[in-house]
Amino acid sequence: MKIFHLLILLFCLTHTLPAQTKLQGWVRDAQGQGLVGANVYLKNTLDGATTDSTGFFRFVTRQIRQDTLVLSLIGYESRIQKIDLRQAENLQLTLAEEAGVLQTVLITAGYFEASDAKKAVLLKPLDIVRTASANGDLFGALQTLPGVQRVGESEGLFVRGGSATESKTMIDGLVVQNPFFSDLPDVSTRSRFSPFLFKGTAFSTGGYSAQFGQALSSVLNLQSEDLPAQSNLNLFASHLTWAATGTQRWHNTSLALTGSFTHVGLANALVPQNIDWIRPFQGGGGSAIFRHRFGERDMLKAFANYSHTRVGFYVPDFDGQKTAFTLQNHNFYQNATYAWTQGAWQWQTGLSYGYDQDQIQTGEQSIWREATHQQGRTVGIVELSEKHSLLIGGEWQWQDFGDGFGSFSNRMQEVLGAVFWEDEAYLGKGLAARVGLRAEYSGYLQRFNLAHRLSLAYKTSPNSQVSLALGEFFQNPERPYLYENAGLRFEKAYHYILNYQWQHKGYTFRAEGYLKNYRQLVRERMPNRFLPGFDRRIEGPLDNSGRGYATGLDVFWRDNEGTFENVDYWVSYSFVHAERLYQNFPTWATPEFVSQHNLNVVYKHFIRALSLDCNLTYSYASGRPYYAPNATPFLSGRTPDFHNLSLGLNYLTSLWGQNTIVIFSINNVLNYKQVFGYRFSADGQQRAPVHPATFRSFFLGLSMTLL
Amino acid sequence: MKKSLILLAILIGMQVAAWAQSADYPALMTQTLDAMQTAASPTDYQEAANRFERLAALQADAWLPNYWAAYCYTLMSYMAEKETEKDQFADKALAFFDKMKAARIENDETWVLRAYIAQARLSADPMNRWRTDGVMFQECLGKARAINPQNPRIDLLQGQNLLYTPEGFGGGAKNACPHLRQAEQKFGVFVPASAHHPNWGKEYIHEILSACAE
Repeated sequence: MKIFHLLILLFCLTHTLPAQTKLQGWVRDAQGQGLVGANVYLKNTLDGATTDSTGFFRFVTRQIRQDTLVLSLIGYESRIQKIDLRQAENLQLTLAEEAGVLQTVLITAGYFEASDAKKAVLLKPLDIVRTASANGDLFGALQTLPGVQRVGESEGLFVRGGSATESKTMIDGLVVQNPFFSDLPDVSTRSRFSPFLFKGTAFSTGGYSAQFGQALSSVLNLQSEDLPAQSNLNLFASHLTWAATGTQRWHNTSLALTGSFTHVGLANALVPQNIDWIRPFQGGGGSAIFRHRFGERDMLKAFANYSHTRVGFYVPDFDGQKTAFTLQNHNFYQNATYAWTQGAWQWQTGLSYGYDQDQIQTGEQSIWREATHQQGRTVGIVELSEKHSLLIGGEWQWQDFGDGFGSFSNRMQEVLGAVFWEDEAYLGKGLAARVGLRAEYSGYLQRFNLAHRLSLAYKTSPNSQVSLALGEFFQNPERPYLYENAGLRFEKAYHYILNYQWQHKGYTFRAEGYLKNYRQLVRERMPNRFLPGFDRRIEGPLDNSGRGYATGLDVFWRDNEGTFENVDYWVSYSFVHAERLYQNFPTWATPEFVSQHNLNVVYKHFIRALSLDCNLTYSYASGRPYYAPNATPFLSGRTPDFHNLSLGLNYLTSLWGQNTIVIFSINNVLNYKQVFGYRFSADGQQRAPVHPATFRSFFLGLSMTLL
Repeated sequence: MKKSLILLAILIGMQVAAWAQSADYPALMTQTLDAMQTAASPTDYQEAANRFERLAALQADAWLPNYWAAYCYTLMSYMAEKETEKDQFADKALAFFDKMKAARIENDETWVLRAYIAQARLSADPMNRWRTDGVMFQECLGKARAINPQNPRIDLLQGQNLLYTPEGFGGGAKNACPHLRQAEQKFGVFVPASAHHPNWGKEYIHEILSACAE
């Protein structure tokens, strides 16, 4: 009897232990492909399995109440699903690709970012330095991107039929008034800042955020580096420049000091010059960079830079005469930013101050130019939800300009205030939108403007998307016009941009068509004659009746180790058609800085075995218009096409146990005789071509880092 | 009498089922750690990572399943070929680390792990990342060292990192080997708190030390 009871007890026990249930099925993606490696399990239990290469899974459970299945896999949205445990032997489950990583729809119209912080960017910060034709100049590398024109005789960014004054350069959102060394007649100068100061570069060729204003064509926002990795001493020597940077890193603080000296006399002696130098470009300067981190994220950054440069050469006037031109420049720039978080808000406040002074001697005449610029700016960003973010901010700029010669002088002060608001939202079904408004007031013009900006992006497939950007952009007239007439209005541009982008593994294809309409451009109403060139005098009464347009197509292809290991190349092509009736143009014409076709092929190959980085760049630009006094129609002449092939070699090695990079580059390897335009004699009968300072030239440098 | 017996039996049965579930935890941990140790392919590591993830979901207060899941994904990041894939795995590893951090689990091992994740990201694109992930790597090792300087994995990672850093940047065998030898010494006396606690690197240190043999 006892045994009988015990049997009953055992019988009961086994029966109250739940029976095993078998679960099996498939996990697939939206296209029906089986997904390998997915984690499938019953919620709050250990019962689960990983899918095999066909997406199949199988496991058993003793659970009877838990009927919630959890699915997760990298790159896919995790999901939970109720199932019927009695019918769980043929489960058909699907996972949707995650909205993060590469799948996000990003507003890409008009934007080229070089950064490592964001996913799916087209360029990395080092790509800039590794572009052969750039010669280590940030702007030289940007010139290989679609939409940027090659204008060899001037510095600056000429974007999509726009002039260099229509592009603004900023560091952490604060305007840099003089990113380049002083403008010289028919000679382009380099930018002042080392590309190594920046961790990221956001370059917009149009349709940019409401955060930015006072630029009709383009903005370049450079993001400064955070705390350096470690203390070190960097020594740089080349046949042009000597520099030393000492960096000290404490726990949450760092300080870096740089001193540099440049003298191009040696370089000029080694390579045939197209310019008759009086005093080869020389200068010296120093900079200081301070960083302090508060807590986990809050950061104070300060940067100051001073330089003094001198240069002199003879400017030919093609009547057998030559005029001595010498220039001396002092430049100081400093900025400080503080970034902090407050609740869900991320704030950044910045202050900047810049002073620039030129003293020019041309022939018998002494000319001076002076400019001071101050700016304050605050921006706050909040993520209202995962799919909705808001940006608000304001800025204030104060400018003081002056120039003159002899007893004649100009002087003016401008105060610009702006507030902006931008709302970015993911609307679902692969559609994202960004709406912005920017209101500006100019104290000098005593006018308001209100700019509307709109961008849309739509995901057409997991690897491709279409975006659209529309916007209004305002800018003050150029300084010489402002001196003449304070009654002018803002110059204005409308951008219409349609962009298609496809990215897969290491490949990127991008095509962007655009139309840019210019309105309210300044016109000189007495164009009895057109005078080209440097330091032209303004003639006649001014008004804002000028207009113009630029329309074109930019194409970009990049293969970043998609096909060949350690090889990265990109090809950019731009077509632009642009005409204007502005300034002292007597009729509609294509401005001198516009070339219809621009092509760049940038090739980079890192040979690991030799520690050698080889870079090649080929650039082509079709002929640009030039002014000939007696030619009709106006600006109808075209210069010969521009070709340039550059080679850069960076060799990583160790000298005396210290990390060393030997940099060697040849610009214009094939020694093309590039022509940027023509200058005519006073009677218009004689002409002489404008060439670059040198045709083929080389650079040899050595950078050594001591710990 | 009979009724109460049956009731008792039912109660015991339910108890047994619940007990079986929680008894599974240490057994499954051991089993999964064994599977991870013999894993040869990314698929094997994915299998192990998935199991750790299930264990982590069930035992919210236990740091070890989260730790090991993050560890698996870090190794997978090293094994992946494309940079985007490497980053996806490293991000996933970071998600488990963040879960531990949110639960206020911070010790020398978790900081070593965080450094390891930073190193995985760094190795995906060293030229562009040494200034960001490189800094993070050093900072995390510093935090680990402040808690427990005897942890051999600190010296292992430091040495390994130096070994693959160019000599002029303070790397190379000459600078790496003192750290690796230190690591070897510390591994000699290191005793994990349990069979489930971090104890990796012991075999690898012998392998990597061959670079230091003159």
